[in-house]
Amino acid sequence: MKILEGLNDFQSKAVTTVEGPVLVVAGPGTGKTLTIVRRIAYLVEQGIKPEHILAVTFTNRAAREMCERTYALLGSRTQTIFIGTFHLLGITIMEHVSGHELLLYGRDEQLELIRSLTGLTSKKAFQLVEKISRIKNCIEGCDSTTREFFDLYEEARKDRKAYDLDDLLTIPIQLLQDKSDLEAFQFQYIMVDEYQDINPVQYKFIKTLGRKTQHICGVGDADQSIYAFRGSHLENFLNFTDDFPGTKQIALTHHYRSTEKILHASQRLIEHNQKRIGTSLSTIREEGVPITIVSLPDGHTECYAIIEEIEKRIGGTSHYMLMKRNISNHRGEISYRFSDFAVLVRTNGQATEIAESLKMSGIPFQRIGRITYSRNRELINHFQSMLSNLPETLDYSLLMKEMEKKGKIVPEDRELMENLFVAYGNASPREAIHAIIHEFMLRSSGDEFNSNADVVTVSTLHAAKGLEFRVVFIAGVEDGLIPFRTSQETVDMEEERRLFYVGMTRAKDELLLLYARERFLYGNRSIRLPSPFIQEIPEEYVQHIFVPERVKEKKSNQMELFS
Amino acid sequence: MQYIADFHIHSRYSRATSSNMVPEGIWKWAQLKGINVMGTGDFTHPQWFKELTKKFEPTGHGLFYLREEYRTQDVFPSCMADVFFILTAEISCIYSKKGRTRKVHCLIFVPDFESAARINIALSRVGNLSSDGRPILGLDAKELLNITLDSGSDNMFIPAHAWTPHFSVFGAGSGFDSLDECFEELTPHIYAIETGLSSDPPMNWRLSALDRITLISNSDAHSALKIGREANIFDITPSYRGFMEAIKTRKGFIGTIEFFPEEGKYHYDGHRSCGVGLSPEETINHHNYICPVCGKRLTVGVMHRVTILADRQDGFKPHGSPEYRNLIPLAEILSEALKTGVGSKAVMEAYMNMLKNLGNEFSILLDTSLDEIERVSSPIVREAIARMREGRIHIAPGYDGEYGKIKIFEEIERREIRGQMRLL
Repeated sequence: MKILEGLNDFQSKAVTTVEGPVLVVAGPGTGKTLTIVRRIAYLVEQGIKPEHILAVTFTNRAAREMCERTYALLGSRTQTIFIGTFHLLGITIMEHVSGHELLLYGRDEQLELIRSLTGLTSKKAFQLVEKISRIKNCIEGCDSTTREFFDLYEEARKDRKAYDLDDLLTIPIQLLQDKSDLEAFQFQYIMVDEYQDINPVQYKFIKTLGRKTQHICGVGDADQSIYAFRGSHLENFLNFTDDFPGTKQIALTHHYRSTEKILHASQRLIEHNQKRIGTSLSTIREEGVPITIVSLPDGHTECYAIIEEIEKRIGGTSHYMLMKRNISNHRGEISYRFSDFAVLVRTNGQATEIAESLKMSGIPFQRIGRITYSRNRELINHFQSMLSNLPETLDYSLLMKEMEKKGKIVPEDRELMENLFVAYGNASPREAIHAIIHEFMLRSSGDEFNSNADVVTVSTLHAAKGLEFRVVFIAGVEDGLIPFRTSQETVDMEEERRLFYVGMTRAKDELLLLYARERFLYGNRSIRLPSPFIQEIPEEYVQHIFVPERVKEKKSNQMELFS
Repeated sequence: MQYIADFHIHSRYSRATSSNMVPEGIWKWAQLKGINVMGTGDFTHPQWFKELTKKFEPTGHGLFYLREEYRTQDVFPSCMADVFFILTAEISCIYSKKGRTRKVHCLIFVPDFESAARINIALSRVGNLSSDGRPILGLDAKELLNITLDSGSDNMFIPAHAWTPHFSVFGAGSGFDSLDECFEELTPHIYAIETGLSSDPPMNWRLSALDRITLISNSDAHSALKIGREANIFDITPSYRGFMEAIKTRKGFIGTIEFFPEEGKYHYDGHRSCGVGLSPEETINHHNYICPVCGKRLTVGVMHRVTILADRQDGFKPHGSPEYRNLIPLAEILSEALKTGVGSKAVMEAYMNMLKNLGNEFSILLDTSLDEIERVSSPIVREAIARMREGRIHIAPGYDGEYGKIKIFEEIERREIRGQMRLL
């Protein structure tokens, strides 16, 4: 049968076991998406009506991939299958009930609203928006000072007939409970991807949706649960079998991504956790090269070491580099491209430092995983407002000055704007402004992973989940960063270990763990110690490189990690 | 009228480039060298682009002048001439195709700031243009060609120094075996390649696949003194379209001024760090691509690549191909004649003295009578230029980034020439 073609026994079993509650334990690189997609196809082939099938994902990226792959398999029959995020499902239900399109507020609009209501600074407003979100997701309670802001915000939001992302979960649950006959949403077969990451509200959503059916399938991996800070409850996953009596548990244990050394090392690390299901994975790949643990004098040399290692594998990015650093393609045939590399870090601050160094080096990169206020929004709004009151001619230098006064135009924006002004200098003001808006729109999702960009990825460990790269650098593998410690909170060592595990298992061929012995952090120079997790990786899987302190007269050679 | 053009240079915003590569400096040195048309280089760099829009004014024919107020007063009257500029940029495409890393440098020509800006906007979507005047992009060279064509119908795309091992379309390290392999169905939009310092037209004539391709030559200068070390000669009415048509059709494209290819730093095979330079024949037959010193794979040079891809014997000349002249930069000739470093004070003084009295460097190297040359220099310089014009020189070929070593005189000859002088 075509649907089971190329699947291993465990995957086939997960695909064909569709009756009753099912828990699919899918470790990293075990073909999880493949299995879900085939399972959907199997259901359709079995005669289940497509509109009775629901597959919920966590991210748009995952939903998009799943849709594309399902479409490739089933063609137009996928159209009535619901594949999407919790949020998409929520808004679909809400719009179905209200009968018209709803006004949605993203983070940017929420921020603007909060700022206009309270006059708070961007940073404070950002924190408040986050807090409101946590309250709505039942992750934390509401104290009296926040209550005031919360009510103010909710009132203004309702006045504007707008809904924020969190409303897309809470309101549909209410709707489903009140109108239990919502026919369009009588799903018979429900699949939930990344089940280990669902939070209390999402859990309730699923429970409500699945009241009338027993065919619920949770897919996930306890070892990759990394969103406790967003309220995800690993217990939901661990207790699945009790929660849904009669659950059939199927573990996918064939691993297709990492070399044996990388997989075994990460397995041995995660075995230190108590809260897990504990399936052991075996890879179809070769033994591979050892994981390289690099000790560096400071954060600065860490950046240079990463750049140099990328340069070496790509065979030098310029004559200048070839001359200066004696990087040559003596390695013979090379096959790397920039998108084969990722640099993963624990904090956004580290990502910024590495991004700066890459920028200096000229190596193209993309940065993902930042949750910040999008400055593009302000620019777009400004230009959109100009459309309704178009001047006869555009005075670009005046416009630029105005923009600079209004808000923060960072250098990249200014450079782009200058090029836009030149490119559309002879166009009509309307055409020019439309072009400018279009260009900034294109770039506004700049922090989302773009798989088509042939660039090095710089990411936080969190945002790297679900991705894979031939060569992965994890930088700042130091106590205090991995695991991450602040003075206020106690560290959830198991969560931090899972996060590190997620990072390690992103690597296909090579994994490099770097730590600095001294680092400039939070305005202080501090002595650093390697992460305790390094001790948990057995020596048989690693090789150590020690880069000594800067030797002044041999500046050009000091970065030679490998001969 | 004849125009000498050097389209490919870099601004001070490029890596390892001299601070004298500013509009004023380029304008001045173009005159000292005898160049009538200069590429601006680096129009993708935001700061350089801004400087260009400020300091240049369009002539109305797709060419530009340096604005009056930026012209300096320190050009010898003997060298003064008009200099046109044309907007150019070089991009380093690093990507993977058919399972191999590819690194291809490409030149882009545009007729106006608008087209340049459109290209800059498109490229800044895929990478960062501000860290290097010659940006590195993870972009397929074919896609770059596509963007170039989309951004303006008069835009021109030419693969840069097409043979160098590490960063070119035919390079041994990370290039292709044919233009088709790289550019596929867009190959007809490739009208020319830049031959680079290490190859000259006769080497390229050995590939019948290049018969329809115009062979252009540029300096790729990173400092003012190196401007015009290779260049193109046109006989047309100067305009952007005029130059591009001449490149496309070879009508009005007289030919090129070339390095002696042996002097180029990738002519032969070898290892710079091991001091090993080898001919293609030695590499293949005696060393099997392995360095006799370090045992690692040799860097395969330009001559070798040509030999492998050629389908004709050495010495073939296609019908109607443009002419070329091999030259050695005057400062290097003086260095050899005076037995002192190229950058030395003595060489620079002698160089400036000749320019001041005789005119620009190209006219000295190509046209000025030997008697006149001797009048402002010495018999030994006269003899050196005479030998250069006749090609009676010895060059130890360059390899793996090491320039070839020029030798015009044996020690005994040097004494003889001085001796003759005494007898006179």
